[in-house]
Amino acid sequence: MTIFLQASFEGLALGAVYSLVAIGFVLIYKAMDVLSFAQPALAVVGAGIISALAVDRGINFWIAFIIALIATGLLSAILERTFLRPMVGEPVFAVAILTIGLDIILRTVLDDWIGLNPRSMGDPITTWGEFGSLTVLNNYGGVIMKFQEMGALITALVSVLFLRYFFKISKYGIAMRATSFDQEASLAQGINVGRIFGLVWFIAGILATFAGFFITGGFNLLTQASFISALRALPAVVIGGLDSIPGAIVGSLIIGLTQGYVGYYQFPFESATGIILGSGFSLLAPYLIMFVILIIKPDGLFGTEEVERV
Amino acid sequence: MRSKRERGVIIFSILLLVLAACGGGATEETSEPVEEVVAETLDSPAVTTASTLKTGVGVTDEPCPEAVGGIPTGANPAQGCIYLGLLNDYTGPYAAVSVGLETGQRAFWLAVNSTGGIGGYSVAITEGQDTGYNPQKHLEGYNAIRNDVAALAMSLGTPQTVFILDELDADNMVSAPMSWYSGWSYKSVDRGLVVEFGSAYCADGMNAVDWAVDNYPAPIKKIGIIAYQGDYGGDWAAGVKKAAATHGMEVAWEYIPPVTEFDITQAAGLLVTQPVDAYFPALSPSLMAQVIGGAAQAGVIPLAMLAAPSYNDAFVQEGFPLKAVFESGAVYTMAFVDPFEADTAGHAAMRATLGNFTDSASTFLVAGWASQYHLKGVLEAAIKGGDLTRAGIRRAAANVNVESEGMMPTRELGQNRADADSSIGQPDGSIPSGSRSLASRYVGKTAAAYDWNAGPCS
Amino acid sequence: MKGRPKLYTNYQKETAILNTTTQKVWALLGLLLLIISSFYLSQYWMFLVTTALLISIAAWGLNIVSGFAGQISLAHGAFIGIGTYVSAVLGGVGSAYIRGYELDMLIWLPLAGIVPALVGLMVAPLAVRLKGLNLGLVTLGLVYISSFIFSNWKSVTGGSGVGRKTARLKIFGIDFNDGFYLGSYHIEKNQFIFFLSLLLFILAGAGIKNLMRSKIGRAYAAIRDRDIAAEAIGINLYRYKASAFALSSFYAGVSGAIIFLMSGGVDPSQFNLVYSVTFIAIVIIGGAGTVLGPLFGAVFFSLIPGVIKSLIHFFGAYGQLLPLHPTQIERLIFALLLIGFLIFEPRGLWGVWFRLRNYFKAWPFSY
Repeated sequence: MTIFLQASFEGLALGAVYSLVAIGFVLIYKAMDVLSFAQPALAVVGAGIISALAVDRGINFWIAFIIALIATGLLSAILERTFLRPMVGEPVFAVAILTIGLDIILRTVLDDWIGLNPRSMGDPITTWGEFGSLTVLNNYGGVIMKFQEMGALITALVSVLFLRYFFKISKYGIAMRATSFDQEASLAQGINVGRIFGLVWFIAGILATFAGFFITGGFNLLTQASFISALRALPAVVIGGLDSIPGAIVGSLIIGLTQGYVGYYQFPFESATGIILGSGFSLLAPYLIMFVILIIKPDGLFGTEEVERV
Repeated sequence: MRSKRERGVIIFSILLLVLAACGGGATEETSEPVEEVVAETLDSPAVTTASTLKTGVGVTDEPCPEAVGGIPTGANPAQGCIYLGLLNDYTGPYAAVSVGLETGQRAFWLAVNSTGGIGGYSVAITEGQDTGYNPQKHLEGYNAIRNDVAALAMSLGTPQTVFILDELDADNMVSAPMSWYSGWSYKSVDRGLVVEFGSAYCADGMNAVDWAVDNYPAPIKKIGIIAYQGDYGGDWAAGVKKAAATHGMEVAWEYIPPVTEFDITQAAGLLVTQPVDAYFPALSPSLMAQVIGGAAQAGVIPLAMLAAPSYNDAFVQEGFPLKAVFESGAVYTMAFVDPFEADTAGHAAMRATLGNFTDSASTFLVAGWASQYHLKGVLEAAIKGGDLTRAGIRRAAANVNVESEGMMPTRELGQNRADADSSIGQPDGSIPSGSRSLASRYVGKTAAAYDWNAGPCS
Repeated sequence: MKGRPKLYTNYQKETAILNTTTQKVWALLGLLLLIISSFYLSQYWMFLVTTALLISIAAWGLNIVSGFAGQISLAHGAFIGIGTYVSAVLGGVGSAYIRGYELDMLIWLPLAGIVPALVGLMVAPLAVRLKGLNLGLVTLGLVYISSFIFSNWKSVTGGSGVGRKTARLKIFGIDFNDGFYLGSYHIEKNQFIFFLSLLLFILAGAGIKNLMRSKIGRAYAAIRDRDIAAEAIGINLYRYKASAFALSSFYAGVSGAIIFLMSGGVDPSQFNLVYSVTFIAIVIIGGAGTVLGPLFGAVFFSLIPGVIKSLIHFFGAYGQLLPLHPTQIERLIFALLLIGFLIFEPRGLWGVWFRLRNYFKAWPFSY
């Protein structure tokens, strides 16, 4: 029972982190029909800025965090303006490859800065900070809830609620919804679509920074391989449907939970049944689920079916 | 759009022209020296006194370059040069320690060259080839240098070296390893090509268990093993399991995935959900930190006996978040050679030379320095036998006693027997090398009782 | 008629594989140049040239499925890997840990193409149901699944970080591993592999050209442009998409079988996502949908590391001042070029060549 609860909690926390990346993916896709492979790289950029300011220069963590959020958001918007604006109207595939190119550039420069030794994020609140945990439900054997994971869950929840409010009520939010629905009509209504694109990437950059922080915070230090953890959110987007935010959240939770359960139950399963799944299975399982769901529902669980006209 | 296209085209054409000009003028690789086509057998005795010295590939009469890789070679401009190759990991899991290893090795030969070189030659290590700890790139790196060097100063990684063994065999290329697989001491595995040094993983594994049982206050009944797949992790695990069997311990779990598939969450998860009294990891430093950290975050810090390549002294430097965990008294490390501060003639010479380059006291500098002693011994024996061709060097490696100025016990190469003593330390940030030596040349009861003539452990 | 190269007097001449005299001349010259240079170039450059030839074959394969038929495939690297391992298992040396049957090349080379083709056929049903990005993401999933299988199937691949040796060269029962003697002249193993690759390259190139001018090629073009419309005019979507994947995997497999023969060994971690993306970049940089495009891309890509190394040597001491490692510079330049081509010249190097050619064709009236 404890293992189940422990696995569930960790899976949910993982899912929360993935959802931060996944929502970024979906926002960009909805607005621009572009799948941006650069999100994981931006997550690492955000984490890198936090580390550089908070740990290397000793600036107060919260100030460093806010600076990182804004800086990554701005970088994101600048990337959109410089590289993606000329690609408006080009086939989707070409733009996706372009974002892969961007990802490679960002990561190469970043890898050089990160260097070979892992870097730390620093501690936001020393008492309930990154390096501690809380053991609850001791009657059931004790489930260890790391503060970092709790933070991830809370942040994801707050972000989703904020975005919901933003899209419903705020002027720019409604403009974004309009743009993702029909660009031409929005232009006709006087919405500055270019600015909306920039704003979408800005928000995606901020979400990526949040994700980057939780991926590399605490004892999961920032290394050259950290971006891989963010890339694992991709199946989530596909499962949920490329253009659905609730889909992204559901997909991320599915993937997070899968990873958690497989991680914890693989050994007992293998010793009980004797079937060897192979090491690294917990990293593969999300893709298998993605396959299955795609075969049943080609547009994802919540995606809108693409109606093609000749 | 038009002007943008044109601009792009112009920029690109210029780029092309520049690349074409430089690419076409690329210097050809230095012409391959003719291989010595002399009928050679490997059975002739190693040590004869001959009057003339036969030389082969990798030995030239021109002096060595003044500096390679940023470190001076100290070569004597009046002497010829013996070139040694270097296969290092600059971009993979051991990248963090690659610089230390290389510096230690180049500093060694700097010291040797400054005192006259060997046999009238100076020795220089060529530019390192990046292998990324990947067997295929290791092979490619070797192919790039195989026609230019007389021996390899370092071939980093056990599976990687095994992967190129056929090529080494074909070239008669002797190599100093940077891994401590017990197989290197047995001709059946290394065909007499690998000039090993330091204690093997298998012996380390046994000694780790024995020492922990003897010295750790709490009883140890259940243990776990986390390791990289391949001969490194496999050898260590074999040693640990043999010792565990003699003590009647239960191996609760083993997590031994390939290095590229290592899932930190799973490893840390095992430590948390299936607690053991002690665990024995054989990983690389960066993953080690994350595994210990992941478990520590959940409040789980069991006794850990780290295989030598898993520890990096950066872990106990000020500012590293896991410093407290590493110094908590639950973590111990094996070491292939005694740490930097040890009191031997070799260590002292090393400190004197390295002091000119770096303040670091990392164990990897020591490993790099120490790795070259035995190779030097082999080269000197080859020179004494009058045959500095690669076949001659290989013959010398088959039967010679090599010294290391006290850093390691005298070793008889080619005897098909691994050495069984280990060095054990505890992470300590107050010491420059990052570890305080607790036991030197320790041989536990399992290692003492094991038949080391039987062959490699795994 | 002399001087009027584009005047075709019958249909056969128009659709011939090399249909103008210029093309014939250049092809012949290129061939001769390659053959002669193989005797004079150093090992290093021979290695690069042979790699370029083999990568061209794989790039042509990707071009079939992505450039001609318009199906996004990120899994090309996996198919190359399947080809490599089929050849390694059938043609390589076996041991206690690793399977190898040391069969003749006549057996493993074709099979190295056929087995990936069969796997490619299995992907086809998915391809028909999915479009665009979703297809791309599914092929992405394929890459991860194949990586997983490669790393865990140790008896075939040796496992990640351990690897295994590749096939031995044995044709008609004659062992070519140490080179062979043509009269009194010794041809080394790598030179032999060069000639083999050249032969395969010519066959593959002819195959592609032939494909392009055939009914299948036209069907692919139709599918790429608008698959619903293609279906409406009677093209069996399923059959052609399946054949596109199968053919492309065949090319990939054949290329994979030979490409690692020179280094002699292969590690399963080699066939990852970055490897597949590299091929996509080669096709894009070279020019998708054309025959010469992937060739340009492959040559460009194979020579880049050598060129960068020479550049750094050229700058000598300044090279040390660079903040980045040579491998990182290579990656950076590669990514920049990819982005540059996508934005400025979507038709890739072929597009550049096309413009240059037209400029000179119309000279001195070009503008």
